[in-house]
Amino acid sequence: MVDQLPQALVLTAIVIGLASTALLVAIAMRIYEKYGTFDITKIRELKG
Amino acid sequence: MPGANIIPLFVAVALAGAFTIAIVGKKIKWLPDIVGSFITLVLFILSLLTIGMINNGPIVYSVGFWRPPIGISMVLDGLSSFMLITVNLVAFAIAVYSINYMKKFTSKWKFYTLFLLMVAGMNGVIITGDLFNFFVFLEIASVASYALVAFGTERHELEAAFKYAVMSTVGSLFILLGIVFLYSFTSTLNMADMTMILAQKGATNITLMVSVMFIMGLGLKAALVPFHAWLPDAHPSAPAPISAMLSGVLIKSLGIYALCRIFYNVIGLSPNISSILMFLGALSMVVGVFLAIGQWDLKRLLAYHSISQIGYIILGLGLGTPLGILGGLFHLFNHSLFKSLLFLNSGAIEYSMGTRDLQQMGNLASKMPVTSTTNLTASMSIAGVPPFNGFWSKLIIIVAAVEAGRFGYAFWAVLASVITLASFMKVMKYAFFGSAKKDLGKIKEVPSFMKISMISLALVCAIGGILLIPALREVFLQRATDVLLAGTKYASVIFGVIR
Repeated sequence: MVDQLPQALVLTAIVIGLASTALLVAIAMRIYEKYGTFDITKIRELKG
Repeated sequence: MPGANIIPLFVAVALAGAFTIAIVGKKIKWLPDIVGSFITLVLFILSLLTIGMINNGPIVYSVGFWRPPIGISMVLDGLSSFMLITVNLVAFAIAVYSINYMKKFTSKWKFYTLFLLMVAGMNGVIITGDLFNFFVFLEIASVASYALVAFGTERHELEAAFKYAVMSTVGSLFILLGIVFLYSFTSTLNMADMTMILAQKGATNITLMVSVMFIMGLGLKAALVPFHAWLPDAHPSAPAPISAMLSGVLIKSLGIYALCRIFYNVIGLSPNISSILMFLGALSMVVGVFLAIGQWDLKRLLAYHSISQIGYIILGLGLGTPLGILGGLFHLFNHSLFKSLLFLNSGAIEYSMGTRDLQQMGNLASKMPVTSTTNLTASMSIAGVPPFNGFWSKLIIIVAAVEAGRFGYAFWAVLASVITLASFMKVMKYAFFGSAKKDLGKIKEVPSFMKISMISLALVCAIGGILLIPALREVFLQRATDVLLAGTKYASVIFGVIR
């Protein structure tokens, strides 16, 4: 018999991953509108 | 169990508020403000009630009446109660402040929805007794905070949010991997059950590997020094109430609370982990403060100070002695108050002057008396000037370090405190006193809700030291300290409640 719990957990983790990725893509699109590029060597106005 | 039914309310009430605002907030303009403040006030009152509920030991709530270890359980003990009060007190003050401050942004209802989602996530992290449930709440709070950092949607906000989101997601993946390894090793996710099984199996390489993953993942959430690069960008870019929320409570509930809970109560604190935590703490303390003193952007300076103060907390907790843990937790409480107050002050200056550059300010004390007085209180607290609250907690941490024979760490703690004082004298001189660089004719004091919120936080900062009076310490700080001191006995305490 298989352990059913990991299936439920993986599904949850996938949903969370989808939410994070969707947000990241949305932010990346807005970054392209502002900076006009996806080149990470040009998107570095903050110094960290 | 009497009273156990209020435990899930900490998540449910916040979620209900968030979804109410999301559904009707767009149509009814005045509703988000009222609901935001009302929900956080309810949560704060509920969190104060928890003090009375745990007089006879911790309370466990089983979600869906599935008894642990099978179902998800929610555990309310001394440490959870302490963290709930801290988080909800700060959240309430910030919700009141946002009523005026967020006027300059469009779509206030989106702000309040995300804000309450973040509060729900943090409360969930604090009360959950299940490791996977903990991860889910951690992600709810984190995803809401990425969106809030990007809330201004200008160049810098977006860049900072992207950086924060990428780094924090990597951190979350390490935490998830750690949880997966623990599950495959112990075949349970309930924290108390896992503690028992881990104790039976003894120390293995798996626990060592998992410890490293949790230090990386949770250290990133708490912004300890090798993992801190996102913080000085993300905190200044967010709107001021959110900076206050992130610096004040998010890095503590997701980072420090989770580190304590997992290392003290689940895995068990070994001397190696303890020295790693102390070293990382001292490193953050010193590196953070040296980076802070050279900054001219007010919010960036405050963000670097957050790293430094987090170092103090981790140093105190890492010592593992009763006094060290007490000092660390007390500093956690104090830091969440004065750092959120400082960020709210910087927001007030930005609201009135439209700048965060210290070199363009000057003589604001004459125009903004409330902001300048509250900022003075908070600066004194963070720099450790008696009788403000920060002095007492730093004193306890330094005494604990000396008592444990760690003279080197005690020295670095004193040094970092002196440099903190210097950098806040710089803030006071350039921002509030000294000569004005600009025409101050149009500068006005901020509106009343912002004033109320700042004054109440300043009052708590000023009288925070009374929490050390034995009668108050017993119910608030000592109980939280006892939970961590009990270590892996946590499991038998929790199972004692269930059976």
